[in-house]
Amino acid sequence: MVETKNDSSFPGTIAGESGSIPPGRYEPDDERELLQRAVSGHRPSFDRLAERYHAAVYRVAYRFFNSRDDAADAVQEVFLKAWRSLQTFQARSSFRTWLLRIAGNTCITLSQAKARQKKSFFESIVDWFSRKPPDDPAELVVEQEYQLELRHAVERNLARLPDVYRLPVILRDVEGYTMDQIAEVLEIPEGTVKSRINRGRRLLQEALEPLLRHRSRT
Amino acid sequence: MKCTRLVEWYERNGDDPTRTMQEGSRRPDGPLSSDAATAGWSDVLAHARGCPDCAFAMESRATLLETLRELPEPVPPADLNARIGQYIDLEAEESGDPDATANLIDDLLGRWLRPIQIALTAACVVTMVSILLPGRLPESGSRLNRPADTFRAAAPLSAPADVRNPSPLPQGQALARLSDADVAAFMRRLEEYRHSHPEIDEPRTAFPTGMLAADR
Repeated sequence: MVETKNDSSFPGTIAGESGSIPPGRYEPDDERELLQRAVSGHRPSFDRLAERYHAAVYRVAYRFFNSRDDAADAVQEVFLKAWRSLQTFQARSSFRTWLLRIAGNTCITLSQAKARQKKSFFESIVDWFSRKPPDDPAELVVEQEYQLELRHAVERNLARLPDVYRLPVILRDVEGYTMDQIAEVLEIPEGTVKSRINRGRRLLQEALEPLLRHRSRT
Repeated sequence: MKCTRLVEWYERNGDDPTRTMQEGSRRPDGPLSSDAATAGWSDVLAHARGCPDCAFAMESRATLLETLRELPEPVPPADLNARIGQYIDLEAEESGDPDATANLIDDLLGRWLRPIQIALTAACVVTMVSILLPGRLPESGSRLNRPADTFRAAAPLSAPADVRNPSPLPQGQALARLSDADVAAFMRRLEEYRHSHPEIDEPRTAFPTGMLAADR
């Protein structure tokens, strides 16, 4: 018997229903039934769950890689892993939390595979500080252009954050999850989540400082 | 030397109190929902008004968080859901998923094995019926223990002989033709034998004469 936690408090809308259901008001009435069937190997039920959640997973993956192709690859990998390990799903957390956990791990794994070598935590920090500085913003005179450049710079630098900081920042500041939800997804203490988010934000601020200073001068 | 008071406050307390207070309504024991943290935030705000470093840090942080919050929502490719299904199918085939393999074997061999299965089943049914059908058993049950006899007893069921038209004798053999005189001579010789051996017509006993106590 699969008993799932109600995840109606999670932010965001459901795939295919975006715009029609306000965030946090979705009630997964038939999710338990779908899960039960999927756990017993019923593929169409799993396909329906995938249809329901693939957009949420895609959002996180896209923010992680800042690439449509990489995000799509990651989503496919996430659902393959979910299908293969569905029988181990013990419903201690909601299905969405479980999926996001797989998504986080998968994004990190793919990211490391893309780098062709597994980097240590220390190396990823060194990479961050040795990156190429952003373009000189002196020529960005129009506010619209500035906003666009800032947005792109945020997306780029977010996708370059060290893995350990990237996911907490994405889940908190982009997706709007609460600290305890992030702690549940990443399976780390809330205090650790908090410190990683702060550290990630500081790194982003430092990376964007030239752009932000330009803004404050103008 | 840059002032780090605001940064240190963030390190200690995390989110802005305004943001945390919104969450605090859902989660009253949140880390920043206490009055102490809120009071500390007021002090930091007052400090930032006179400190350019902290003012910039606060402004840039607010801009960053706002930009992050308002990033346009990425729309997944229209065919992503279908690709997920195809990817799972493909990986299952390539990795030799036991279920998929079993299905494949069933599909391939099923059409060859099915006629054989049907034939074997039919043979078993016919054998069971021929053995168990009432009235078709041999006269003596003990004879069933002898395979040759059992087979012979069952033979008429599978191949009934045409008693009206017996099959011809094997080639090279023929019935001997006897005349009436030969038959009469044979019968005379038989009668003479009976006369010369009167014990033939006496009742038969299980024991030879002289073996029983009454004979002595």
